[in-house]
Parts: sequence; C-alpha cells; structure tokens
Amino acid sequence: MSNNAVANEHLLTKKDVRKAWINWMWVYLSTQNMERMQAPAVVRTMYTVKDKLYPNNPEEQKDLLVRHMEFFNTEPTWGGLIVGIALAIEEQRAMHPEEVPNELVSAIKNALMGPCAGLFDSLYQSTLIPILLAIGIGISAETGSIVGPLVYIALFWAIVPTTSWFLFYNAYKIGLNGVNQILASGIKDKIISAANIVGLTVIGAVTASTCNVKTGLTFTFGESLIDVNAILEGIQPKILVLGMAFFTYWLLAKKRVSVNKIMLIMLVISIVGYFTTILA
Amino acid sequence: MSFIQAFLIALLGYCGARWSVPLWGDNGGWWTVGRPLVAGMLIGLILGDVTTGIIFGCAINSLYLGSITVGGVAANDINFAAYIGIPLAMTSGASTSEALTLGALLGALGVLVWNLVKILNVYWVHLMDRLLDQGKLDNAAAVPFYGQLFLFVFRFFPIFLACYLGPTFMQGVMNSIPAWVSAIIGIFGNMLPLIGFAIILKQCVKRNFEFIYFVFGFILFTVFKVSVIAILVVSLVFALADFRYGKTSEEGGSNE
Repeated sequence: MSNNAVANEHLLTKKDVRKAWINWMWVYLSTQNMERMQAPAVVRTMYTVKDKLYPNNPEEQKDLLVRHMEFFNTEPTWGGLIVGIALAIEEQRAMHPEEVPNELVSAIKNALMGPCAGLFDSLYQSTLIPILLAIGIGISAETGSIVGPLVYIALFWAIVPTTSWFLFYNAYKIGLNGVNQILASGIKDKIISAANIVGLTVIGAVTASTCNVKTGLTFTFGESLIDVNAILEGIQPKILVLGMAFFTYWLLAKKRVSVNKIMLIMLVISIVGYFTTILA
Repeated sequence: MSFIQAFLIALLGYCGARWSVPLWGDNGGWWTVGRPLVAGMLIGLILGDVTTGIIFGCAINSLYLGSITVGGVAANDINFAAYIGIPLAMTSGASTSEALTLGALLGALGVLVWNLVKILNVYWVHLMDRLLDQGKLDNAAAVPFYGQLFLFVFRFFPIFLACYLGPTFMQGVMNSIPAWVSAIIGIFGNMLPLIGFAIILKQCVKRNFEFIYFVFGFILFTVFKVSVIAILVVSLVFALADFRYGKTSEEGGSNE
C-alpha cells in the first residue's frame, strides 16, 4: 500500500511538464556541437523544473543541471520522449534521494538514445517528412500553386508537435517500462513496415512527376522516321526515368558510391548523352 | 535585388537553418520555413513572383527530399540551396533545371558551414560548464539562446551578400552560357532529384519486394494519371491492411 502512495505523489504538474517540453522543442539543437551534441538543451529543460524539484536548494539545483551536461544525442522531435522519462526519474530522485541513484538517469538516457534515434529517424525524417513534402511538391511542382506549401505547413503542424507532446507526456507518465515494451515488441517493426508502404508509393509518384529522362534517338527505315522515345513512352510512360531511378539506387545502396560521385556520374552521362543524342 | 529584399531573405534563411531558435526551434524553422518548398513561397512573396518561387522550391526540394542528417552529420546543406539558390535563380531568369543545378552546387558548399559551426559551438558547451560550476544557473540556461551567435553570423551574412551582390554576377553568367551547355544542364537537372529518391529508397527498402510499392506509385501517376493526394489515400489502405493483418516477422525481428 505504501508503494501506491509513493507512485501517486507528484512534484510536477502537467503544466510543468508542458513547459519543460516547450523548452526542449525550442532549443533541442540550438547549440549543436561536435562534443556533447544536445546536452545544452537537456540542461535547459531541467532548468525549467529545478525550483519545483529542489525549492531553495541551490546546491541540489546545480547538481541536477551538471548531471545533464553529459553527451546526449537522439532524434529530438519524437525521440525527445527520453527527456520526458528523464524528467520522471529526476522527480522520483527529488522525492526519494536515497532510493534513486544519480547514475540511473544517465544510464537510461544512454540506453534509449540509440534505439530512439533509429526508430524515429526512420519514421520521422525518412518517412513522414518526405511524404508530406511529396504531397506538397506533387500539388505545386508544375503549376507553382500556393496550395502545395500551405498543405505541407498545415499537415506538419497538425501532426508533428502533437505527436511529440503525446510521446513526451506519456513517456513521462508511464516512465521507463512502457517505452521499453514498445521498443522491444514487434509493434515497432509493424509500424515501420506500414509506414514504408505509404512512403514508397508516394515517392514513386513524385519521382514520376519531378524527373525526366528522354532519348533523342531516331532511326529512318526507308521513308518512315522512328522516334525511339515515342516507342518507349508507349510501353510505359517515363520508363527511362524508372530505369535511371533503379540505376541510381544501385549505385548508392549496392555499390556504396557517394552522393557527390553520383552527381559527377550523372553529369558525365548528361554530357555524353547530349553529344551522342542518346539523351535529349 | 534591393537591400531590404536581401535582408529579409537572409533573415528568413537564418530562421530556417537547422539549429535555429527564433521560430520555436526547428519546428517553425528547419522543418517549416527551412523546407525549399516553403522557402520558395516566402522568397517568391519577397521578390514579387510567388509562382516561380514555388516552382523552383519544388525542384530543389525534390533533390533534398531524402536528405536527412544521421547522427547530426549532413550530406548536403539544404539551407543555402534554398535561400541562395532560389533567389539567384529567380533574379537571373534561370530555368527550373538550372535552378536545381545551382541548388545542388550550393548544397555541397554549405556543408562546410554546417561543420564549421558545429565545431565552433563547442565553445558554448565549455562556457556552460564554467557557468554551472560558478553556480550561475540562470546564465547557463540562457546559453542555448545566445549561443546562436555563430549560427547567425554564418547563415545570415553569406545569404545576405550572395543575394545582394549575386544577381548581377549571375545574370552575366546566365547570358554567357552557350546553348549546348544549357541543354546539358537541362538533362542533368531533370535527372538530379533521382539521388534524393534513391536515398529514401535506401533507407526504406528492407526487403526487395518492397520496390513494388515504389513502382506502384510510379505507375498510378504515369499510367493512370492519379493525383498525389489520391495516391496517398490508396497507399494508406494498403498500409492499414499490412498493419492489421501482416505477420510480425519473427525471423527478421532483431537484425540490428
């Protein structure tokens, strides 16, 4: 029973957690640096709750901030949920200094920042943002319509900060165990798999809308002129774009050619293609 | 370009740079005004031609669609590509593929600034260490805000100077380009975004059969002429089916 009473105690209100989250989202990369990456932002976040955790205790407040000056790096927008967990641990630490060792928060942050970076980089940076951009570009690439950028902005603000707050606050509430469960269970793989389907399909469409590869080859058979490009377009519109897309992927993923070298290769292909009229 | 126009573009460019603080951090910055798609619209507003701005923004953004930073390391710098590339292309009357080629060049150049600022910023971490040590907690917690100085200097001034002084220079360059060079840039520029898409494919495709989704989207657009929004909805149906009825891959569970 006494355990229950402990679990229900709180030093921080939902408002305090929200304030911490707003500060985190504000500065998470503001002084991004080679040495300790996002550490200054974690310190700033802890700073917002220092008076609630250790009222009138400058020494403990200082220790709290110094504790978080260590290296920290993850995907900050959604992976910031780690900071939510850290907040919960620090709250427990403030209430029960003897039971919660100082090393705990550091161990938790170090254990979670890698997996969270992996999961949220692939969900957020490589899937969600490209999809939203692809929608905007798909709308406006040819017409220059103002709708595309506005749709992107609306979708971004409807989805990203709300999700971030949801993850941060729930991570704070359920603490460590819940997050570990999600990271360990098959749900993570299922989410990525489903997100990939949307991402790849939309990217396929936008590849078709933004890229163009045409051949200028023509042959004359007796009287008739044969336009190779027209024949290829008849088989599958933009089939050369598709071929070139897979060639680029093959170079990048299978041959591990760097992006700058691929640009050079494309430049050479363009020059040779132009003078041989293979490309137009 | 007038002083005021260059000033506004440079200010937005700084706000849209990664790590920038004024627009609630990366939320309003890097992920909103920092996207070339949005930058194109804003630069278009400043220069009085929204349509061209957005078309150039779309072109440059498609190249950088998949450009992400892994562990804080950037492959290309989207910020200069957008905030120098789009204004210069607009004021010099470039074509879309010329704008794209310019953006790609600037993107490669901007990585230098990216890495430089990241090294210089180590200064602020050490300053924070010292301030905390001295018990100046308020001051230490303010470092993430005034520690923006280096980022501001290395984003605002290059963009401002390039926009203010660049157009005349660029116009000279554009006028002296022979026809065959423009044709090659046209071919090259239409191919360039494939790199952005290849990066996405590399990140997303775990099993080869997943390429079918990419081809599916490609065909829906080219053969069936379906809009991107409709394609999104169709793909969501497939994703939902996969999530609800797909089996969790036992064998490929923990391949990290």
